[in-house]
Amino acid sequence: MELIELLPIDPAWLWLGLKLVYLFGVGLYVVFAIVVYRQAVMMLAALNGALELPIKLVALTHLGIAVLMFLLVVVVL
Amino acid sequence: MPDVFVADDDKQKSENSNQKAESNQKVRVGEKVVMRPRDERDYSEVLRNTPTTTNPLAAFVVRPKNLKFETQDSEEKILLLLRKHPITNVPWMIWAGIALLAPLGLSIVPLFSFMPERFQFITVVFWYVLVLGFILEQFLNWYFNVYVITDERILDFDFYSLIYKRVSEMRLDKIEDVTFEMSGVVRNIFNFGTVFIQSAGEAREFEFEDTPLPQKVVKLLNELQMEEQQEAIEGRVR
Repeated sequence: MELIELLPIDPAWLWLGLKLVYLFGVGLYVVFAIVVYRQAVMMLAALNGALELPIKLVALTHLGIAVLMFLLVVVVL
Repeated sequence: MPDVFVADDDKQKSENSNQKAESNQKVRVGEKVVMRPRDERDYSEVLRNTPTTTNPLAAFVVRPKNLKFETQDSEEKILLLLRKHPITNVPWMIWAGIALLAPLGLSIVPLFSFMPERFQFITVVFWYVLVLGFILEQFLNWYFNVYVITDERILDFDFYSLIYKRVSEMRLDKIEDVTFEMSGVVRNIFNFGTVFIQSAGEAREFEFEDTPLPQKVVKLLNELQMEEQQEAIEGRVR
């Protein structure tokens, strides 16, 4: 932290920049979670069996967690 | 005087029962009378002697219940569902375990101590979310990359990446050669290997990679091939 204070820029701007990087990264992960859900649905359409509902629920839950993560970054950082 | 007609009565009865069984196997298709296909347990020792399982995570499932695929015919029966042996999941599980424990190392090597605490908290939470995504992706890849043997064809379902799907199929009567390979200590201990299926068609070779009990898979395919040939000779229909 002391090294950061030696930088010629205001640390507040530095953390804002880092927050934007985190938002971009988590935003990409939300897109990935949407694709995973679509992948699960596509796979179940090709071959459905006993775990159809649990897999859909897990994929949806994963997507929900990704969205919550994004909101967490917006609120906390 | 000995009754010489008793034997003939028995012979007549057995002939009658054979004729009745044979007539049950016959069906009229237009003007022709042809034989019905036989039940798979009648001609396959593998299907007769292998118990069924209701475990949805099994890698070798004989006559799976409640399973359908999108190009399945209405009368087509799924005889065997295969996945890679569960032991093939161990490497990524180990990596996932290490990844889950990795944040504990931050107390020893504080890599992110230059950040405010809120950033450190979000970094650790995001790390766990990434690991969760990795585990889910690996599970989906293992669960859905399957090989299916029906009474008409064999199919290979491949999901190469997140949005790329490939389904290859080969009719049983196009199979020319079936072999299997079990190499290495782990494969021999856990009894899994690769089955190679050769055909004369465009998709020249199928590979059922790391499947459990490859010798049973080969035996089943041989039994199905023989039954296909018998059906062709006898003119049986589906």
